Amino acid sequence: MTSVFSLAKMRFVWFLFVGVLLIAQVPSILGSYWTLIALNLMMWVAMTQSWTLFSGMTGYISLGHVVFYGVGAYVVASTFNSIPLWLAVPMGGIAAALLALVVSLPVLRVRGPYFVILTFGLAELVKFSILNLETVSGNSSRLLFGAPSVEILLYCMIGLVVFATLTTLIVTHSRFGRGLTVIREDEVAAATVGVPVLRYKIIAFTVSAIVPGMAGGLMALKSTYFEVLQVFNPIISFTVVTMAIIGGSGDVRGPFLGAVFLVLLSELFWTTAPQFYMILVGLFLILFVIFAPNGIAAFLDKLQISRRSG
Amino acid sequence: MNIKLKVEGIQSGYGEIQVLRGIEMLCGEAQITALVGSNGAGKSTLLRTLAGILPTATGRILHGEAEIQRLPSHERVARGIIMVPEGRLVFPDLSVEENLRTGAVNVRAKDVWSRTIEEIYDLFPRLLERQKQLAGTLSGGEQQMLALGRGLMGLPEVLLLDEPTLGLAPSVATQIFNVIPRLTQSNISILIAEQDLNRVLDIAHFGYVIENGRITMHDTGSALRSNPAVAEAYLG
Repeated sequence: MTSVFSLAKMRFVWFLFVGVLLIAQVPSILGSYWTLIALNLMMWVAMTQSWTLFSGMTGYISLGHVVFYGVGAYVVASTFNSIPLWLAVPMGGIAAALLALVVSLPVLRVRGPYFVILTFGLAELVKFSILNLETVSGNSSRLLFGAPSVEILLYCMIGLVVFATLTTLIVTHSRFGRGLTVIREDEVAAATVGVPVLRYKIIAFTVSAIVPGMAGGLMALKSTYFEVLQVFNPIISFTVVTMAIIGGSGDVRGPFLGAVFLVLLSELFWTTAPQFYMILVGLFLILFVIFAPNGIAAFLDKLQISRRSG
Repeated sequence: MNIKLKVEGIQSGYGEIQVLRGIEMLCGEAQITALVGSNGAGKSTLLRTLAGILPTATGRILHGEAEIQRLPSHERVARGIIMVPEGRLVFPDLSVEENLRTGAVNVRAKDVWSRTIEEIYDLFPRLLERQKQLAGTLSGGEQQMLALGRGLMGLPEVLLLDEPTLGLAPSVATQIFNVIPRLTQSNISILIAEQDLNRVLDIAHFGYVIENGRITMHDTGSALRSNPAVAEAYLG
């Protein structure tokens, strides 16, 4: 247990709490526009943090993280008039985790590029299945009247960020987390030293689906309507992977840095020059992959080391 | 002689492709059993099946009295059946010491890892010199020593060695071949698949020749060493 509370990690936990307390002040100080941006930012941090729990630690790059987000949104939207929200949102997380558990056996059999393609395909499959289900049952989209205010959603999303971050922190320094790291390093060798490879992968994959499931539910409430093509949009998966790469997926700070970077970039350019924004995102992605594959987090570490030694 | 591992009619392979067509084999306690054969004969497939990396289609694997062919790989490791995979599969971004420590995650080995690691450093002083270095930066020979050391960290009863000298400089291969007989003094039973026919049969108590997924000959190491048919089978 000593390593869990190492000095650097303690400092990070302090940063986390001070940071989220500050963000919780946004509605009262900066008003509704910034509240929406803060909600968006927190959503992306929660999504990316949960993605790194599985994909960052095991090296299985998932391009289908949106499927859990979409399922969570679907659960909340389809039960909106029958189940109270405090129950519906966690149910969205559980439904997403169940989906992950069910598909994990076939999906986790393949590795590398095949896994990437399979997760992408799975997300599209679920998207069109639910789209057909909704069309057949006569719901082209659903309006959600009387959803909670953006302010309340922001507090819930902050809770998800804290939950996802603490989970990552604890897992990283646990026996389970070391097992996942060793799987990333070499799966056959991991099996030969006695790591229960398949079980660890299934657990990590399932747990990593909970947070996006709940985030999807919250975001459906934010937009006050539910439309399948929107909540299952593959762009969401791509953005999560981009944020993880830019921020650094091997570090608990990475998702914060990556999400802040892209959300700021989009605030600067999205409304005035959307094409230019997409070009910039592509450019940064390429630059980071080539020059800083471990993201801003690793870059900061390097700066600190060179400052100390220089 | 006590039998440590008994293989009865094992068939296995990769998906639809069957590689092993009914293997029969015994590994004696604290003995070196050699598995020789040409490329593609099924040596690695057999070792991976015994370790539980590949599923057993039919047949039985007995560890003492217990059937283990349905156990997942980590439970076999916990029983002391440990494979050192071919190709020096070390964890490249972990240090030498961290690599060794991961070898001791199983229940039998985890509480005594600090004592075991001293023994490994005695066996391979080079690893002690490289203790803090990342495994990916080691030479091929050092990586093989590390892979072997990591296997030993798990306190094996049966050690499955898959081509431990493949691609190594002759002097390093000699070092590895010198260490292996010493391990049997710690009561470790060894099954070793090897391309270097003569050297492995020199140290093996018993040997099996595998061809096209079947055992075609078996005898004492020295008898196989002087049998011309073995070399013929090996060349295919």
